[in-house]
Amino acid sequence: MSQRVSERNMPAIELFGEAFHPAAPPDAAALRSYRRDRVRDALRSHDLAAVVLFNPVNIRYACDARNMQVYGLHNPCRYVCLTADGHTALFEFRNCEHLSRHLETVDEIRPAKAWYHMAAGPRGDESARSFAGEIAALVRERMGATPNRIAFDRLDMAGAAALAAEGMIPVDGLALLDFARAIKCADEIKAMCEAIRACEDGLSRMQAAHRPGITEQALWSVLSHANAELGGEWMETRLLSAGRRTNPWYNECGDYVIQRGDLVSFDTDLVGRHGYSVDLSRSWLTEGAAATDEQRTLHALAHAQIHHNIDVLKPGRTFREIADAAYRLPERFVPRMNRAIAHGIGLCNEYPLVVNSEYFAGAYDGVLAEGMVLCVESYVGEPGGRDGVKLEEQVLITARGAVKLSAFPFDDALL
Amino acid sequence: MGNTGSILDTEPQRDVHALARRSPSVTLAEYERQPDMKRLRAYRLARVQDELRKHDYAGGFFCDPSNVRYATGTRNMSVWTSHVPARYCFVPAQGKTILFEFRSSQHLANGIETVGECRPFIGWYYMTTGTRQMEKAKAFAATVAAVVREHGGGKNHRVAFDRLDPLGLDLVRAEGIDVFEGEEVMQHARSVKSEDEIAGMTHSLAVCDAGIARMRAALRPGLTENELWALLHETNISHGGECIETRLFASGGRTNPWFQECSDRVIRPGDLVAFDTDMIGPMGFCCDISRTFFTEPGKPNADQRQMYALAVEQIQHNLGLIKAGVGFREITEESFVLPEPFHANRYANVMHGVGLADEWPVIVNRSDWEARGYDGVLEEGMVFSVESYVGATGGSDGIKLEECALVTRDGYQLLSTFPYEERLLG
Repeated sequence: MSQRVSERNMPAIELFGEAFHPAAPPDAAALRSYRRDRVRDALRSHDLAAVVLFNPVNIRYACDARNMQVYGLHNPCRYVCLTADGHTALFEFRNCEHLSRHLETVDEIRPAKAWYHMAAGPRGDESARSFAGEIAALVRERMGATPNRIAFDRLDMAGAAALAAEGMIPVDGLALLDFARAIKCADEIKAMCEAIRACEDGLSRMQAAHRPGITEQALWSVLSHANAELGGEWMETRLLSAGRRTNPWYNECGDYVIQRGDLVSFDTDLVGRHGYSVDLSRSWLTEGAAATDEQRTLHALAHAQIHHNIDVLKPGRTFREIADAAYRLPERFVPRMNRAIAHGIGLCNEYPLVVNSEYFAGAYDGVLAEGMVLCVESYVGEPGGRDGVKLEEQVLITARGAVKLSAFPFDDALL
Repeated sequence: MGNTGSILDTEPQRDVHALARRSPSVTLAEYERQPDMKRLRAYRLARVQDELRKHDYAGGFFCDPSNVRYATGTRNMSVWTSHVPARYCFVPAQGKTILFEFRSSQHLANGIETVGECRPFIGWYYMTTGTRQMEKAKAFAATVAAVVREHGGGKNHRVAFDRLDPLGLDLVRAEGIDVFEGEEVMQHARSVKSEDEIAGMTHSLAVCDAGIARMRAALRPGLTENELWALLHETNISHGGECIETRLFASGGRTNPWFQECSDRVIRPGDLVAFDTDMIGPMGFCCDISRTFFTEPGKPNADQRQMYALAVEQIQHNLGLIKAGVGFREITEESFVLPEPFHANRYANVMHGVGLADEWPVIVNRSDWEARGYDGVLEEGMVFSVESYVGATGGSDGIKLEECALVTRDGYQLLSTFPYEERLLG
């Protein structure tokens, strides 16, 4: 067992006029202050008094504090409040102050008020009032008596009512956070590349374990093991399927025993080292039978689709322009094709979502910008068909176009 | 519990491991008693609907994946959807549920009999709606209102939501819907487990115990914390489990204070290694067990043995308070009080409910009653994680132990079976 992430040579990348080596270690302090400043700037430009964040992914972005992340995804047990004057107060889970004392992005740490039902029981309203009173007092102390608009990434009913009683106006803060998170600096790319390399080490181990007779979940456990061993954090989904279960997409891994000649398709969807997401998809042929013509066709189309679409991604292009220029799959694959051409990625899936023209009427427009990282996706499988191919690559948008950050090879047997 | 023919029959229940020793096989077999999934889903849906009717709600909208799983028996990208509200279910006060499923994955609920209808969900989280957030949120609110009118007989507009952010809340209210707190409904519904659920939990805990055993067998100086912790991840996923909620695995000095997360630290001889599994295992059952190991070569020092003895005493004392009919406050008042210098670093609670995640209720320590305590009554069929952390303020290490216990008429049954560490007991 090796706990070290493989080295990989990567060419220098130019971002915002400066070249850097993506395989170099990130400067953690620089990364933290860049991200915190992005949130602060957004706060000021929206004329808000403060932003309060509950989602651990947003807390991580704003100040880099990390604690029981998956638990925190569904239990609002800790939060951070950034006021527009530049002060950051972290409200941490009881007895966990020691986890964040080293962070220069955190000005003070206080115990969080828990008002979700499990923790507060019948005292939820009392606890929510105490939460709201403390936030209101903090905002008044830092910002004066007048400013009262506070953005939230999540706010449950009791808290919203208690804040209103304090004269504060809660507003939706997701747009603000998603815009802040969308543009990455070089240190974020370095951190992300380290996470990608660790994920790719996991994929190599999966490839070595892939053989007829292994179950889907046993194969998936190899990636889960590698992610945890190499310092990654969690897996957002369990999207690995084989054989007929690859079509339609979204079947979750189970105890199906993988057979000779089965396609195995998966989507990594993991949160890896430094908390950065790695969202790559591949389809592999299981040994013991030659690829069928249909399997090769599906793979060739998916491969062509993502590479055509990667070339279409240029800063300044609107999402509609990208949709118009995007690869067209043959008609029989349209019903089950991926809705998205690409989606943003950072600490998890995020803004923007660029969708195919078939679905554009239900989607939104916007402009691609330098510094965004996108996952470019394809799913090719027809209704009634046996197999489905899922491919996905992670790319950085630079002034010159999209640069691949992932380097894991495609399956030779299908190319 | 204890009906004739139940897979949980254990007579007499003097052996606190009797139930755990009978954990069922879950590979499909027609020739022996096994958990009945259809009956499990029916039981859970009925529990939710009882709670809804108790509050005179027309129904409830639920988005937390553990709530969706509980109410409908469906699962889809559980970790991602626990922070991105990409699917909801509607549970009417009676009748079948409506699943508002993530687009493109409607087929996952095929054949699940608790789901009367599956519709695509109109998401209004920013990533998918961008500049059109208000439009999508309005469409969501209109759907909610239409469903409620259909199921409330045109009169009852009282609806519970487990999660509804301010924009949606305002729009749903503007449709004339009275919105109430839904976590209370779900947490109370989930608290009492059926025999099928207990059978599922014992299976999930068997997988967790297997992961712990692999970590114990692999423990030696030179490994990193992450390398050992990864074994639990692998065991869980390869047996069909779901995810691990935290990374509470620490060694040596990192065991005190508690809550330091797993790292690349290299484990050394004489280190204590302490962890809390917080594992969502097979069938979505949460296995929340803690153990502390000693790393050989060498022998535990007197402090390590003293702390371990205290932690075992605390757990055993608090387990002994468990019995159907006992009040939360009674448990708080009778609970073990750690002496100084260990009191300041005590664990946040004496015990907490557990099922598809950590659940209601939380029963706090004596000194925390004023600030955070609340009362209630233990019922037969509740399951608790009983906690201990023993580490001196400023001390160089600490002990974490935790057991999983089912509340019975006469006392408790331990669902976790992993033994304590002989070397630290000695």
